[in-house]
Amino acid sequence: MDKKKTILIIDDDVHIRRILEIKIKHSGYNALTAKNGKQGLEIIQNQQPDAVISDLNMPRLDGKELCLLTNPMKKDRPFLTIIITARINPFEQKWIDEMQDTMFMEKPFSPSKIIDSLAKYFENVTP
Amino acid sequence: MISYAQFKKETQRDYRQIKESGQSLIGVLSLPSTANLLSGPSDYLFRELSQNALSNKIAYCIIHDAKTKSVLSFSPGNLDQQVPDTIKKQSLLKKGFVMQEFFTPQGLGLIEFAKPVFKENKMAAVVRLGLKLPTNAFFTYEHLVLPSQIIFFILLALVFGYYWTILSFKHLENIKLPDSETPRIKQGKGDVKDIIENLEVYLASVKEKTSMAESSRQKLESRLKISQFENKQFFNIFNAFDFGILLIDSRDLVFFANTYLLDILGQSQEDLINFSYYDVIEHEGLNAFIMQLIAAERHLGPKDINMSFEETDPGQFYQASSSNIMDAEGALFIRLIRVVNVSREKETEKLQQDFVNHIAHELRTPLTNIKAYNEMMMDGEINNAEMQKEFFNTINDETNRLAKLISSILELAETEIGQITVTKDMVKTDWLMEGCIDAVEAVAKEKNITIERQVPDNFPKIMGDKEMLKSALINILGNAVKYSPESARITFAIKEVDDMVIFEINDTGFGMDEKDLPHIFEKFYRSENEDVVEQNGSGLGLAITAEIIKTHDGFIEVESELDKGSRFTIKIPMGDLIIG
Repeated sequence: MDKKKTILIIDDDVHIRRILEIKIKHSGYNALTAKNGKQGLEIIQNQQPDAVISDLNMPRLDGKELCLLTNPMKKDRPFLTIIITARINPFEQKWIDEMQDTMFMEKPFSPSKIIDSLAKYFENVTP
Repeated sequence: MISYAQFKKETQRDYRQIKESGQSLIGVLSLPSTANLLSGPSDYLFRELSQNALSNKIAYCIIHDAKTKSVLSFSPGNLDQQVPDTIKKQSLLKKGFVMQEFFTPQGLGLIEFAKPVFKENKMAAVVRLGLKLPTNAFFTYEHLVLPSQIIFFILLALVFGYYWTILSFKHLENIKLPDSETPRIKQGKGDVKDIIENLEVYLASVKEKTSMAESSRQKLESRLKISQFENKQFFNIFNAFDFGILLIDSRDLVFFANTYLLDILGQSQEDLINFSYYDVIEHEGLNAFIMQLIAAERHLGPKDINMSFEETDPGQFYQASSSNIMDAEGALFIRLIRVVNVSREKETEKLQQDFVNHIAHELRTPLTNIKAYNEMMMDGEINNAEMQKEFFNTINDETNRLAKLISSILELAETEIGQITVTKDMVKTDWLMEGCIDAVEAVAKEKNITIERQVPDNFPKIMGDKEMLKSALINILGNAVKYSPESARITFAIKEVDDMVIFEINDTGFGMDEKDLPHIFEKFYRSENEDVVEQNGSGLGLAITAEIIKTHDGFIEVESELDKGSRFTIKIPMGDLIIG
């Protein structure tokens, strides 16, 4: 059996971190959490999660800055990034499109849809 | 000329037709059957020749036997008698087709076609056909009628023109021009004295005219100076504008650039004036914009364009736009290009965009929590009773958070656009203090925080909206509780100084970073300090407080140090108290 995938949740809102953590664990994945982009970046570098779910609007390194810093890492080790945002405009859509293996999900999102997106991604990347 | 050209063309055409007709006719006449005519009736041939459409061109037709003797002859004008012997011999002796042009002694142009007739491979006869050449006389009635008509009409026009001019000048004789007085020439005997006198009269007249010319010149010069002065005045006005002006004439030469534009271009008047804009405007964006304007003049082109002048004015945003100024005839006279600094508008636009993004973020985050927690419960994923309770609490808290946020946004919007109803009344400050403490006491107790009252001997009264003032003070006192650690101490003081009531709220909480202080009254601003981020907050509380204080003509000040605490001071004028 495949090794359990690890998902990192980065959000400054405690309730969002909590609900996503529960949902991810219920779906059979490992879950890691971070309160801001800076903490999230350290976890990505040290623990190499298989996917990252991050809020866009955060203190201490927001979602966009995090994506720009982590995108080069995906060349050697691809992983999915789901950006959670309250409002997507053409400008944001543009930079998200330029990132590798990156998608967005608009608030208010359904936890099940996040799980569906993760499953679909892992299905495509796993031989 | 037209007639002559037509005549030449007709002559060439007739000549060609005569030749073709002659060749065709001689061909028919020299058929073997022609030889039979020598021994049979020839009336048929002559009748045919006479009735031939070309008979008026046929000069003669002679058929000779094998011994060159003329046996049949058709020559209506006896023109065959005028054929020179050399021509005749050439036609009879040459055993093949012959075509010869010649003139009779009377000067008539003829062309002779001759061809032998063979019967049973023997030459039985020779047919000679003479046709009249087209006349080359130009001065015939047909050719002269058109030029004659033209000449007639020209002459008619000249006669009418002459009489019309004479009649017109008759009217002009009655008009006297003041400056065209003829010098009065003395009609003397014509001796030297008379000549000198006449010369003096002439000289006086010349002097008078010179003086008039000088006066005209001075008038023109003064008009030019006025015009130059007016231009200068216009340029001075343009130079006073706080945006760039560039005038380009219809030949694409720079006519004027105001000092504002020269400053941001980093160029001088001498660099630009009277040069083609294309060659001298160094700023690529502006140069390209003008070029696009000119190229798109007849089509829909760019109306304005954003640009920056990084070398001379870094970090600023400019917008160039243009309009064409037409002359009285509607032709392009000047292109006017305006270059305006739009940094402030851009900043406002960005702030508005940020504001909308913040509102969306703040509203959708609790909404997301309500939806997500509810969905998990509905899906039956949460079976544990304790966790279910936690979920219900979260849904409840997030609903309250959302409701509070919506109220704050509405309150702020109403205050900002001046729609809120301010009911100013006499407000007792002791009532304000107790009301505020009551509102935050429960949370303070949870954290074991003490709120100490510092009160004057007599509580002052102020004119204001008691609910709004209470709301403003609760925001500050609430923040002091929220951002203070457990067991912290907060003081709430009220003082009266110089007709002002001073509210002072002092805490020993987390304090604020120096870089956060200038922004704390901005909408949605939240510090990145971890202790602040941990707490729920919309970033609107202090913005609303500041608006309320402003409505009461008061001031709010803040002093803060990280990890030591903050002091908020609110000063409200007491106002004209109504004693009821």
